Amino acid sequence: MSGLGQTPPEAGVADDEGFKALVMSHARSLHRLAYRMTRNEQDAEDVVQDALLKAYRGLDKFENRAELKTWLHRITTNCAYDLLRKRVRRAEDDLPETDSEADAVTSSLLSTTPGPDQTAHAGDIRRRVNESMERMSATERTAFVLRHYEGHTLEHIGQTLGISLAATKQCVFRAVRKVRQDLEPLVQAS
Amino acid sequence: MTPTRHLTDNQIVLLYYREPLEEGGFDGHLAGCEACLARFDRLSRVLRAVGQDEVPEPTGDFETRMTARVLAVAKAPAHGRLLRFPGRFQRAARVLAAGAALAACLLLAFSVGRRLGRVEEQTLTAAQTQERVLLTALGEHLGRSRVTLVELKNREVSEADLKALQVAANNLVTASRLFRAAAERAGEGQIADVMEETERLLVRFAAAPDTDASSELDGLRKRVDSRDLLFRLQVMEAQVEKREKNLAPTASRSSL
Repeated sequence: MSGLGQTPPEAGVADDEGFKALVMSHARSLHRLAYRMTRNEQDAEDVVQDALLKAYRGLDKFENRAELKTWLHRITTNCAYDLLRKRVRRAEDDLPETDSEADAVTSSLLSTTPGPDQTAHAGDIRRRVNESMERMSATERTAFVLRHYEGHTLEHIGQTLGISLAATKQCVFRAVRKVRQDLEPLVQAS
Repeated sequence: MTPTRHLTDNQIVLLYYREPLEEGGFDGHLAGCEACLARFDRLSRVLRAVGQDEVPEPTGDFETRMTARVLAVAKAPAHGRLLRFPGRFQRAARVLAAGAALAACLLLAFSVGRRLGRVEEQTLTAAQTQERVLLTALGEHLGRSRVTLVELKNREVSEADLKALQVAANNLVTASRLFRAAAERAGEGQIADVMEETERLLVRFAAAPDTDASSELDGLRKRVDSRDLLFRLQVMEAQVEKREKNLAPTASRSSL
């Protein structure tokens, strides 16, 4: 992978072979991260596409002291985070307007709570994780994915999201509470 | 001996993730406290279960597709291209090209309008006129986008049509980028979001290599449905139209 980081595409000597090698090496791990955050295959592909495009256009800004993987993951995180925030904004626009409508939505959500006889197999876990993630804010979800799946420290997550360490902790705490509410009955039953 | 103080739920989360506790005095607490250890175990079981949640692997040619799409978008000219369309797409091409040109004019008008609006009260009418022009063009663009998506979604296409449709999609993306820039500058986040999402779908189809164009068109059709894009475009179009009608000459400036 020659020239990456030294040869920005804007200079007219874009290193396409290098870029292809970059995609071959990192696209799948970026997809995993994007999927964890978006919980949707199509959105994950879109996020990876956006992230790789930004990476391609921003190779000149890439600082060699940083790890390429870290840099790519940060771009992907930001793309997914932006998508989540837009999605939340759209969902807020679609919120029911009356109390009775809101009650109906709450009832339908509550009715999906698993009974004690349900077993915690993979499909159930995926469904419950999806539901927990849906109940998280964009920031909570991002913080949780980066901490739980990607193994980033809270300090690093705070830097990525541009929030304080204390705020990052609160995001993770709230996210874990939501996950526990949804998964603990399943795990105990199993 | 049972300790008098126990770990909080949040502290147990920090311990699970091997993060430092905010408060001192708990070194070795878990090992000596059955209650906290049981709570730690319960949390560990839940979070381990979350870790079992598998991610579907993208299809085999994922890297090739990503590379092709990104390079196609990155190397596409920033401005509209003069393209030759086969017979039945020529009219659509002309409309799209006109839309792109109009959008460029509107961007200029909008920038000037903002400056005028800030300076003198007497220029309010001029700013409102520009706003109306922008709203009209924006409404027309949203309508064009919707009609194009309907066409892409419903038309029976032959192999020969695919290339022309890809070109039409690419042109719509070019026009849309200009309008989206104007919408973003005007703080019209919702409209910009819908446009961006439409562009993203169209880019995937427009940039697909010949071998993948048909499957990308199928994918586009599914995404148009799953994301309610036609409905959302229609809503935006109706909102813009309503605002345009409500724009009285004496009214104060709106955000657009």
